[in-house]
Amino acid sequence: MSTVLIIDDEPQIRRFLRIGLSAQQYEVVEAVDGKSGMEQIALSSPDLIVLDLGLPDVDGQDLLKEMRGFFAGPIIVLSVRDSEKEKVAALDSGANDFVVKPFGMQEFLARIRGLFRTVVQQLPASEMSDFDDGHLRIEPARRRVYLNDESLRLSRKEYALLLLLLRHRGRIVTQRQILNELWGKGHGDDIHYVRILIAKLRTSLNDKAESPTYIETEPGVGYRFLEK
Amino acid sequence: MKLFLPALHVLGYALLALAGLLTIPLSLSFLGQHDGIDVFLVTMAASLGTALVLLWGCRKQDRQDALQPRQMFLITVLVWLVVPLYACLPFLLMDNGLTLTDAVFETVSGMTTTGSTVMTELDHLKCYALPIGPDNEVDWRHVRDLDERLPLRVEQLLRDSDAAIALPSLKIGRWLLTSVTDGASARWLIAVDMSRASETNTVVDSVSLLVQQTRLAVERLRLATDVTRERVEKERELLRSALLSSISHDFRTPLTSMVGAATTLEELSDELSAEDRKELLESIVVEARRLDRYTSNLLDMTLLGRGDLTLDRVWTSIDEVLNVVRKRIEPERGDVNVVFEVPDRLPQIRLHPALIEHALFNVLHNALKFSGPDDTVRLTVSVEPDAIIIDVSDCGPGIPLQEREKVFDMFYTAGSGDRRQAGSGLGLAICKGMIGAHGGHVSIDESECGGCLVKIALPLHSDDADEVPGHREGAI
Repeated sequence: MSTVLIIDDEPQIRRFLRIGLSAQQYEVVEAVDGKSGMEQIALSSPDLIVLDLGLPDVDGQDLLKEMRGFFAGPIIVLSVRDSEKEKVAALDSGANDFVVKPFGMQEFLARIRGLFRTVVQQLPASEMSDFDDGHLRIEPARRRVYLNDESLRLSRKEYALLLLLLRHRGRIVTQRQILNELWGKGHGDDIHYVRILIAKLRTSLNDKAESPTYIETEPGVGYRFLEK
Repeated sequence: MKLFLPALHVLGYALLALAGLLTIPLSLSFLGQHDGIDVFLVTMAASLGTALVLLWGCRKQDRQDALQPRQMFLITVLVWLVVPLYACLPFLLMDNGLTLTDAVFETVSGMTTTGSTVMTELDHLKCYALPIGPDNEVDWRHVRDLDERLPLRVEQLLRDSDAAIALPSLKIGRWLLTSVTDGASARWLIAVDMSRASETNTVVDSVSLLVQQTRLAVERLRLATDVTRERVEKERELLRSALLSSISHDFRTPLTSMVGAATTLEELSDELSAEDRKELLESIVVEARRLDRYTSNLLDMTLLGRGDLTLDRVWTSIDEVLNVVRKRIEPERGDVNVVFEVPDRLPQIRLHPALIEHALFNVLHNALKFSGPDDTVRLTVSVEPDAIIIDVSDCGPGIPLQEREKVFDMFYTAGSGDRRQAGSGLGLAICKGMIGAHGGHVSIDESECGGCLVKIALPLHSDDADEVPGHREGAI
């Protein structure tokens, strides 16, 4: 059974998170501020952390960086809608994903499940299991992609992007992450490369940005391969 | 010593007297451009020449007729020093430039804020500064002994020429006229009544000084206004961002809890125990109440801020209001004890019950927020000759002396920045506004147990006691 640590100063938010997570058989530990949160990391060694960025005692971004010093597991951040900057900063500081307040339990649990699938990322492509939802089939081991049983011809970069998103299925992949993975660190700010490539990939997959089946945009932050 | 003086001596003294006479107008022409010490040095240098000529003249004379060397020396020094001093006399007698500027500045700023005409005395002459309107009209109403031709001629002047921008000094009848502008939009006509002027020259120079200083003053005023406007704009911007962050934090937090709890109920209902379900429903209700509180607080504040709040006061007794407050606070108190200490006999008071109730609720709610479990929050009512005093005390951390005024600011929450307590920071601001609207006041002190004591004073006799309650009349 996995342990989830909730760090939030709002008792009512902790309450429904605890009930929802417990119902899904997660063990839940709670902390009301950054200080007791750090203590709980040491005491109960959680598998995943839910962190509210607006804590009363410390700046959430600072806390994230500090945590990353000794906590390697996934961290999901609770954030407010109107600050892309905050989200990007949190992801840069070591958060793995975020949910925007207010959020539904289903969405939150989906993110948690996505984060627990960490192991998949580390696997070499040859050992990744196939993805198949009835329309799209991706076979990483054979480098094949089928859409409605027709073989898709993707460019090398398009395929690399698809695989990257698939590895992080259900989780946010930032624009910078994509840039670094596909083009290398030299291309610091060429975010438009990513946009163009995403557009191409979407056309190939017959996916639409405004009603995506596979690749969802988090405006100003990055992209997410949707979970079924 | 002979009384008769040789011709050269006479000439020398005559020259000296002439120079002395000339120095006054000469130094006056410097007035406004130079200060006294300049004139003193210049005239000192000038009179040195005169003194040397005199000295030289004396030496050339027959020794018996001539003055003694000591006397000559004395005269020379006297000439050298007295003439410059004499020349500086106008400077010594006049106010120094700075205070005059300040005086002008004050009158001009008074004038521009009230838009009225200003009259000052300048060398005992009446001097008016009249605002010139956008259509070159001048308001002459306040000018005393005005000859009828003047307004017509001035208006024609202002209409006809570039004088509308900067009227040069000119004399019409007994009036000396000139204008000043701040370089932007505002202009004034300076009118000096010359009927009592003895020395025209002096006054003209004084007027030019006045104009020059007015110009400076107007410029300063314009800068000052700009700075004020900027500051107000900045404060408004701060308030706006405080409001936005308040909405973002205080409204979204309960919404998050409600959406979260509701979706958990909806999506996981099969997996939840009855107890969990009850807890989630309870959470939704609590958060909905909190949201309601924030909303009404924000609405109240907007009303208070706009001055739209009309006070429909009624005669009532404070304990009736307290009863409503007690009911409202009960579900919020948790493990904190709330004790009301109200005397049996309370005088009637004229107030807006809902507003006072709201103010008291805010104060009590604040006290609860900073109280630990099993702490006691105490509300004590006492009656003074002209006011009802309501004290609300808690045993929380208290408020440091230097922050006691600030807690009444909008959106201020104790320990601001990231250390925000859950709260919009509107509660006490609203309390102050509402109590203030009733002519009362709120202050903060330390309670007996080291916590915070909020003291509310509501005056018993309101200013507009236009209606007297029936049962009171009966009692008399």
